[in-house]
Amino acid sequence: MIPVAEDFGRDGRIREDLRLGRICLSRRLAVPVSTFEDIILARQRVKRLMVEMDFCTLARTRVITAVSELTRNIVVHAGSGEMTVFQSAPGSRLPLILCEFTDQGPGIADIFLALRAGYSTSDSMGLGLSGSRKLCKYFHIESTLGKGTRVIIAEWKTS
Amino acid sequence: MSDIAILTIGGTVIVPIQSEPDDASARRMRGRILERIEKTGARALIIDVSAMEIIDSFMSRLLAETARMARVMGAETALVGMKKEVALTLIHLGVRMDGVRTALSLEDGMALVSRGKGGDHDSRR
Repeated sequence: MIPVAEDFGRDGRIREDLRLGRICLSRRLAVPVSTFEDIILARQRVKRLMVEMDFCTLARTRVITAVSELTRNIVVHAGSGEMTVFQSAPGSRLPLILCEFTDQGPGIADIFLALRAGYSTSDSMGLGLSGSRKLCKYFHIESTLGKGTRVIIAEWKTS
Repeated sequence: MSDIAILTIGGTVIVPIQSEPDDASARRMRGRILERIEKTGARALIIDVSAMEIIDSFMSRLLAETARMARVMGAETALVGMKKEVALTLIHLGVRMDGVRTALSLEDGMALVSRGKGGDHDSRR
């Protein structure tokens, strides 16, 4: 297999480590998501943590926008679910935040289609999933029809 | 959460969005803005988003729709004060705000919409 360009470099290694669960994470907070007010709450909680971790404004804006899109997806498509937020272990040389969004909703029939910009099964612009994928350094999605969906996003400091 | 203030100054409706509205209050805001334009016959609408730390796809669509509806009712809209991080994120997200005029400050926005009154809708500054 020919490695793609993004597999090289530090960010690529971090993505690989995340994929393989090689980064030690500690659970920071969990927010149940079932109402539109919960979307605001989830955003505020992630914002507070990212301020505490001293992420720059742009990284914060990108991640919180993705949090907004992904929690709205839970409310609209699944009715309820949960956001769980993890942080790299204290003292870690890699300041990293990871948010996991889970629901027991109907699941996604075709993930590739769902990830296409402009595709929507609700009356929206269809930018939630495709956009969130572009907004964060790490994006992972898995879904089983009739069982639910799990999306993970992560962001870390570049320097 | 409390409703967003809507001001009318001269023939202009000004909406300073101070907090992050949830979906319901954002929808309510759209209705109230259109009502106010109808009641006052305002020819200009200025939405000040300088206090907003994030604008997601839902909010950007709602803002764009509000602008389109206002135009149908005869009012030109300017979106003013968007933070650069918010603008960059919207571009990343793939949001297009076609047909929405933007300005850096409230003052620029006032100049923009007053120039647009009765003129060519698609003209740029």
